[in-house]
Amino acid sequence: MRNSPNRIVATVFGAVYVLVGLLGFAVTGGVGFIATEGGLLLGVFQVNPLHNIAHLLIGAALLIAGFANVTAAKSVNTVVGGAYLLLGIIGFFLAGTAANILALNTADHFLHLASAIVLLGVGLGAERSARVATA
Amino acid sequence: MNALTTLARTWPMLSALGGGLVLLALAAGAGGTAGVALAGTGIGGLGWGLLSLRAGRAIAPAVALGVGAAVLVGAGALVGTGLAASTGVAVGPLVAASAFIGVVAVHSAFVVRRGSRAAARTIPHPTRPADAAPQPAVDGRLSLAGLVAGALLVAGLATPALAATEAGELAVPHGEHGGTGTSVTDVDHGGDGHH
Repeated sequence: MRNSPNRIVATVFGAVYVLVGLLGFAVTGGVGFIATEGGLLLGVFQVNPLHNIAHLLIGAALLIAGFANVTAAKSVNTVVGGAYLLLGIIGFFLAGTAANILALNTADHFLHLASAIVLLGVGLGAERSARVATA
Repeated sequence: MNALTTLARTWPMLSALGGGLVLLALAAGAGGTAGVALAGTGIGGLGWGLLSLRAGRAIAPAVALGVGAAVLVGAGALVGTGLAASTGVAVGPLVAASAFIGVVAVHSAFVVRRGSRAAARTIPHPTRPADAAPQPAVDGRLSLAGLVAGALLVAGLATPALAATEAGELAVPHGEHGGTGTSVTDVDHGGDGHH
């Protein structure tokens, strides 16, 4: 694992997202499942229970893939990174509508955009021969 | 390849992603011909960044240079003539997008120049070195660290730029309305512009 950028990133990001998902429930007591108002995680990031579950699922997928093999880590990194980027783009065009449940605070956007770029960058840019690699 | 080059290898691609996102956000608020042009350039920037990351090198550098230069000139003209305000294009995000695109243009110019020199040296069988032995964009811990640093830089500039676009100002920020537990079915929440 130490020599695979995809496995390192998937494992680290997976662990962080699982932790963030668990910690999120500590600040979302009494908050509606898909409420536009949420609790402040670490005093900065806004989360609601749906957001926490999304963090847990994404973190679990990344963590499992990171522990599994290079191909799985590369695939999950690319899919999760691409999904974050795509959801961000769609979010711009849903702005101001009732469907805009993706609207978050600036700290959330920063974290999600940085995550998308790192995951997509390592998924697309590292270990192009992952299908034959056994790292 | 020195350490700095390895560290910053992915930055032009990441910069293209940041520029593409900001241009798309500007397009969402602009509409009309300007919106179409911004959306097309934004999609182009995102596509170039993703494909270049996958290829491990700047793809179509001459085209990227030409488009990048055109975007910079166009952005300068929009701001300089005051057309930006009348077409609903926010100046701040446009400047941020121009900075991202400028990085892509400068890198593409460097690649084009290097390719021309290599071709001149290898006549009668010119081969571009970038095509001869492409490396992965992220290969080793230093380039991985560079990727993370680049992502933080891009997100650090893109996020406030996105928030300053019309789309960003219309977006509903969690936690900045009154009352905990408000359902998303409450449609009376748009346009307060807090970020």
